[in-house]
Amino acid sequence: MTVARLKTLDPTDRRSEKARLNQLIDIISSDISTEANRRKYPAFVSGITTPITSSLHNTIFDQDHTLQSSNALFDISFGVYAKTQITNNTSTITGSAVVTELNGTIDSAGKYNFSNTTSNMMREKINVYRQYAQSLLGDSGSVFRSSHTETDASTDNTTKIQEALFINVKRLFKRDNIAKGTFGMKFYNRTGDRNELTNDDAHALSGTLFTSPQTTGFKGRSKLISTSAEDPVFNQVTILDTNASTSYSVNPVSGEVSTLKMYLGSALPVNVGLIFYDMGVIVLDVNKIFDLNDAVQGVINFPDEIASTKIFALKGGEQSVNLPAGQKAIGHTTDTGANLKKFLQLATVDDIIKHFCEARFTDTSNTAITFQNETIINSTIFFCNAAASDFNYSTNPTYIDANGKIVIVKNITDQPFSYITTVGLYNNAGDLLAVAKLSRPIEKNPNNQLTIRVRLDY
Amino acid sequence: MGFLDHTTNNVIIDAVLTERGRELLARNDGSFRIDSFAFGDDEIDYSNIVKYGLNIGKEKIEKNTPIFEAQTNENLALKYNNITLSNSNLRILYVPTLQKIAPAIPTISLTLNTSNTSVVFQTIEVISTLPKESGQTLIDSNLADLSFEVKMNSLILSVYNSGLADTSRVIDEDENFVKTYRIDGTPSYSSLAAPNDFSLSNRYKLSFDVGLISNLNTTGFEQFGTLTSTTVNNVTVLNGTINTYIEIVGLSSGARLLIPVEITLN
Repeated sequence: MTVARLKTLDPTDRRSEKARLNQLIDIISSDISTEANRRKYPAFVSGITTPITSSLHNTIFDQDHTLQSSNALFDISFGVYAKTQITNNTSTITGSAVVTELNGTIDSAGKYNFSNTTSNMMREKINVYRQYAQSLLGDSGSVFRSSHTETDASTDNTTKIQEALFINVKRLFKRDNIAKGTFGMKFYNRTGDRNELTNDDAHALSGTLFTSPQTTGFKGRSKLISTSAEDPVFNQVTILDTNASTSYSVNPVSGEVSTLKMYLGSALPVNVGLIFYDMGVIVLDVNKIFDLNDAVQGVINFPDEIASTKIFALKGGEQSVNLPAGQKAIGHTTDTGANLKKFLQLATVDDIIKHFCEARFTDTSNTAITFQNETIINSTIFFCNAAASDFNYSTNPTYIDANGKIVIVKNITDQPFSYITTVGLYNNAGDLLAVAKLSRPIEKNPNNQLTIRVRLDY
Repeated sequence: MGFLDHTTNNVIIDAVLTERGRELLARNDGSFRIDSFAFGDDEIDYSNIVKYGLNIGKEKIEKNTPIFEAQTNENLALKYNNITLSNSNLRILYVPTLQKIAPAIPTISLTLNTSNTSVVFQTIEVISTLPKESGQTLIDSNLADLSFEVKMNSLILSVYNSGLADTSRVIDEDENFVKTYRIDGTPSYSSLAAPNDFSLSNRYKLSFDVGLISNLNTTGFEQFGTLTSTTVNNVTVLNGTINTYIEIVGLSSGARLLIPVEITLN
């Protein structure tokens, strides 16, 4: 059946092409540091008298996560590397100092056991690391290394990422992948100075672990620069995937991967992690972006800890605080050796994430994480060709008068014309599958032929 | 800095899938395959040509007609088609229009009788024709409407076939529950009653029965129309009215006809 309103597309009237669409994503610092924006998933329970719960990861939202209009930005978790080494039929735990210093044991089934007074969630932290290693490196026993050019076979112990902070950018913002060479991140690489904390219970409880670096006088200190410069801006580090657009690896397990470099002032950049562009995962070496020997102070959740009174050294002298059961003080006056490593052993994953979010990012609208995502768009372009004799009349009700006579011509010799504002694409059953609009009406008459190119994206 | 070349006929525009397109794409059975295209001019008011003359009228249309964004409802996205004649040398002064020839009254009236559940339906006859004064004896073969599409709110109305709700000729039901039926026409070359009392080749007639859906009740009147109750001598009487439309589209010519339907509750 010949139909006046439809014209068949020939095979040569269509062409497929692929394009990439980039979007700039800015995550502001306060989104990360605000506690209400962090969604927890309490999957871990430990303790008998005063049990505690913790998540294995948190999700950071762009506003209070309980609001329906909030969008999940990224997931964040912490893991440590450990593996069983068998020497002369004796199994020992090797890997991160965070684990090995605990002198854990291995039972006959291969399960690690750690003291429940000196550590917390260690098996879970190891499992988090193993899960990421399995997904991104292809082997749960592999170790991440802070250069994409190195493999698991490397013998360089300095490049091992044994305490890792994992950031998974959500699909909504990652889209198909993160664009190479566009990632940047800014945060404080050391905790503030406890001698700047005023004497009150709140500062004593938060300590250097959970106090915002923007707190007056609470200045983050430099790690890369040996001087104890106390300019809070100066002590912000920047992490970039420098040169990643030209220097990257393609891993068959996880796609494109490149190295993250940390910059501070005029110091030479340091390799501090990996970015997996296709997977949307950032792996940061906690021992390099922070300092495991950094002295810390504060109160964390700890199972079966009895109520106590502890004294903290603060700006104006000593401050005594009462701790309820289930909370443990570290870095108080009789715990002078407390450092970040000890915190990573004792703290739950929730507390570690809380520390990273609240003590390393300010409650400001400055950009903390930025990158461009990529959406790969497959398009078909249809060449809708109207020959000179095509589509010169219309069924528009204003085209005819009450008697059905065309109003735009007076005589049979007059040249008919119509206007085109819309293009419809149909299947062979006559279903309207897609529609496109022109920005302005285009006249069609027997003296012109036109081709409208219509792009349909998938 | 130069000006864009407005004389070019090559433009690229982005298309959006209609709800029907997404539905067929999701079926993954090959039914989503773009095969043909059509042009439409929904926003154009050609009466500007009559009001202002050819040159200024065209300028008014081209410069003063903002174009709406695309609609994704397949029934609303492209209403008025540009059409092509079979003979490229042919010039015409008349294009086919759809005319309702039965029932003779302008508005179709249907009554829901709550005490009588039998289906009430009405036969509608429409022809795709040219006016007698066109002097033509033939509708261009491209414009001959061998089939028609009939659209109506399926929460109120249905096409009936031999007294039963017709499901075999339904080709689409959109998100607003507007059902589209595709119904073949029958040749109607011979003269009809005035004003169609002349012989015209390629004139086709559409005939179908339309009726209320079997489960239409007072809730339907509340939702789509008005429902009032009056109490006389302690007897409450419900009265209701729904005004709706049936749309008929000539499948070839793209000609459209809206038929008003008034449904009353008795």
